[in-house]
Amino acid sequence: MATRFILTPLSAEFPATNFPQLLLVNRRPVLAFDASTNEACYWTVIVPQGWTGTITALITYMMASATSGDTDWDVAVEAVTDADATDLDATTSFDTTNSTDNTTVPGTAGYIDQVTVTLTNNDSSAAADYLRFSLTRDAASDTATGDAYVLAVEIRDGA
Amino acid sequence: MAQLTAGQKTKLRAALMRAWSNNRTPVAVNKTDLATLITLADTWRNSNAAAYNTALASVPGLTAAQKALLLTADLIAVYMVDNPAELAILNDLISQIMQEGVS
Repeated sequence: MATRFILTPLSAEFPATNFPQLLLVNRRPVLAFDASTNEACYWTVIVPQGWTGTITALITYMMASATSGDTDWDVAVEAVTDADATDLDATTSFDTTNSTDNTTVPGTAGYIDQVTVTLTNNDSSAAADYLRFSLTRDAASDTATGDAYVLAVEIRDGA
Repeated sequence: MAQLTAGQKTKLRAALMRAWSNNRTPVAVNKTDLATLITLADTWRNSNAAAYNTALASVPGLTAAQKALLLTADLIAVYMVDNPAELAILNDLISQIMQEGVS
């Protein structure tokens, strides 16, 4: 297993609507995912050489206020290969969402928790692809109150 | 004072959660339980509206809206007295309720 990317709040990209707020909490940059609205953000990378095997996303987060309940996380992958007929000007082409649901939050707000999402649906990504990861808190389905603060996302493959 | 609709209660829940999040206030109930608590509080307030009107009956003159504001003012004042360290949440909550458009 190899670490391929460390995705941080400061390198996140945002859709036009329903995106997490970029905040500083105790001087730490976080992405604040709302508890009532599904919010999403993206990270863009070029897939490195040697990309292989099972791909996973390890989400490190803490809760702003909740000390009970659970969180649901969705990660989607969009991989565009050289000469693909994908008009980036006008379309997105994310693969089917990968989810990890019902992860119980820490009993103390501010303590971190780490959730693994296996990216089975990774849009057949391969070395040199132009790739985006989309991260969404499925607030419509999870049960924890208040914001979830994402601190970082690690992307691993099977190398 | 009528009861809040389901949509208004959902907006109130969102506002409460944001106010608590912004102020890092530990909250030990989940979203479902919080929704239940809001319904219970709203039902209790509505069930006791007649008793409130009866209590004020000896001094007539206020409109229904003014009596509602009087009750709100009393609750805010009591909250401030009892929770002086948490006034920021109160301010934030009012702002969040307005942003949610609970009306």
